Amino acid sequence: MAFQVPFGQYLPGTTFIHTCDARVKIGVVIAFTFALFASSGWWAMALLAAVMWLGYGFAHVPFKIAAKGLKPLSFILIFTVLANALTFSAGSSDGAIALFGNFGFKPEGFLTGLYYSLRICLLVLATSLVTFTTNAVALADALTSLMRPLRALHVPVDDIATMFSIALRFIPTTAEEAEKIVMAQTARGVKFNEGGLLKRARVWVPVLVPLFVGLFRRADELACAMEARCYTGIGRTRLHEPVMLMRDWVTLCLAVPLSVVIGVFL
Amino acid sequence: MSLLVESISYEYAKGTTLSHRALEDISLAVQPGESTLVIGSTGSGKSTLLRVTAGLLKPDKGSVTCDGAPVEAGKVGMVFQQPESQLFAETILGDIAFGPLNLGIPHDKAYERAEDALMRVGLDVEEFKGRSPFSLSGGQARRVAIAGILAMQPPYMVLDEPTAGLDGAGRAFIERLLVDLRSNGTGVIVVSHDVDEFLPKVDHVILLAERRIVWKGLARELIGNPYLFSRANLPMPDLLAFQEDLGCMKGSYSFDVEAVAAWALGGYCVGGPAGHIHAEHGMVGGED
Repeated sequence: MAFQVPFGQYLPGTTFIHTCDARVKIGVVIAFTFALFASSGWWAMALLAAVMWLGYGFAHVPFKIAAKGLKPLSFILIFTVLANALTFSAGSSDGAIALFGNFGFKPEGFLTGLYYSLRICLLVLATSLVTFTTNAVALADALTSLMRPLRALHVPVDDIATMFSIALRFIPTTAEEAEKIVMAQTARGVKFNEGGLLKRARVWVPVLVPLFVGLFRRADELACAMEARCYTGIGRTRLHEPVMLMRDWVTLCLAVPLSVVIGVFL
Repeated sequence: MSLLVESISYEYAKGTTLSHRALEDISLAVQPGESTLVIGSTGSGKSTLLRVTAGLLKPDKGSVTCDGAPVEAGKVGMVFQQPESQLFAETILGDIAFGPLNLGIPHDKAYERAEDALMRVGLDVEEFKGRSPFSLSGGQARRVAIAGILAMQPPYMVLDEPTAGLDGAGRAFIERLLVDLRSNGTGVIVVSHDVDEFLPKVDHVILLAERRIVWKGLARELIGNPYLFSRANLPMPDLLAFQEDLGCMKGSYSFDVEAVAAWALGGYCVGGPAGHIHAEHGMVGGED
C-alpha cells in the first residue's frame, strides 16, 4: 500500500544489524540512552551522533526515512529550543540580548535548547533503528525473554509481550487506515492545510472519530478471533528459540562499556 | 465537457526503498452520463487510478482535468471501499451535510441537499435523519456514506468496489444507483470485481494489468469477445462463460442462445453465437 510509516516499520534486510539478536539491540539502545542522558558535553553528543549515523549506514536504512520519523516531533524540538533561547528578563540575565523591552534572546540558552533537542532526536533515531531492523515477532520475543524473570513476581509477561507484538503489528495498519480516512474526508471537501491552529485542529475530528471507532471494532474482532483460536496467553512456546551467537555477545560486550565510558567521562 | 485522464503515471513512496510503481501511462475519458467499469486483478492499480482521478493523489506524469480545469479534491465525488468507515458526525443528516458545508453551501441548503440525498439512497428521512450513524447496519451505513457524496452533487463520481461486503439488497441498490447516476447525467467510473453485475450496465470497460491498460473499449465488445479477459490474467465472468458453454451445445437444445444470453446479461449481450439451434431434447436443463 501507499502509506509510509516513518516509525515502527520493519524494513527487511540482511545486514549485521538486521541479523543481530533483538535482545542485544534492546540492550545496546538502553546503553546508548544511558550515554545520551549521563553525558553532558558536545563532544559526547557528536560522538553519539556519529555512532547513530554509522548505525544507519551499516543497516542500509536511508536517513531520509529515519528523518521522517522526526517530523512529528518538530513542534517539541522547536519549542525546546525557543523555551531555552527566549527570556522575559533580558535586563537581568547575563549575556541576554534584549529585543523588545525585557523580552530577549539568550545565546547560551539557545545552545542548551539545541543540545536537548539533539538528545531527543538521537533517542528517537536509536529506537527507530531497532524497529527498522527488527520485525515485530522478534522484538516481542526479545521482550518476553528479557522480562522472563518477572514471572516469579506473577507479572503476566506473555500477555504483555502479545500486547506489545499486536500494537507494533497494527501501527502500519492504523496509519494506513488513517490515511484512507484522510483521503475520504479530503474527497468530501475537507482542507487540512488551511486556516488557523484551532481550525486545523478541528478538521481532524472527522478523521479521529471514525479512526477510533474502527480501532475499537478491530480490537474487539481480533480478541474474538484469538479466543476462537483458543488463545489463553499461558504456556506459549516458540518454534525457534532465539540463540545468542558469539558476535551478539561481542557486540553487547563492546557497546555497553563504551556507552558507560561516554556517559561517565564525556 | 468530460473527465479526462491523460497519460498519467504514479509511483508510491517515490525515492525511498518502499517505492513501487502503481500506474503507467494511463489515459481515459468519461463523458457526462456515461459509465466506465475498471477491471483488474488485485494490485493492478485500480484504486490508485481512482484516487488520482479524484484529485487525491497527484500524478508524477500526465494530467487529470474535470470539464477543462485541473481536477481538485472535492470536484469528483469518490466513494471509497467500505465508505461507512468514514462516518463520524452525531447524526446521519449532519454527516451527509458535511461535504456540502465544506464546499461552502449555506447551512439550510446543505441540509436540504442532505435530505434529498438520503431519499435518493432509499432511506426514510424522518426515520433516519436524527439517528447516530454508528447505530446503522452495514448496508444502511454504506447508503448513508454514499448519500454524503451524492449531496455534494459532483458532475463525476468514482466508486471503488461499491458492492464489496453487501448483501443482495445492497448490491441491487448499488446497481440502481448506477442507473440513477447515468440518467442524471453524472459521469461514473466503477472499480469492481463483480464483473457479472456491472458489465451489462456500463458503457465502457477498461482492463488493467500490472499498472497498464491492456484493453479498453465498449462493454458490448468485451461481451462479444470474452476471451479478452485473459489479457488481464482474469478468468471469464460466469455469465459469459455460460454463454460460451451454450454456444458449444450445438444441435442439442432448442432455444435462441443469443436471446438467453441477452436475458442473463440484462439485455446488453450482442455477441452471443448467432442463430437458432435445432431442437432435439426440449428446453434448457431438460433430461439428456
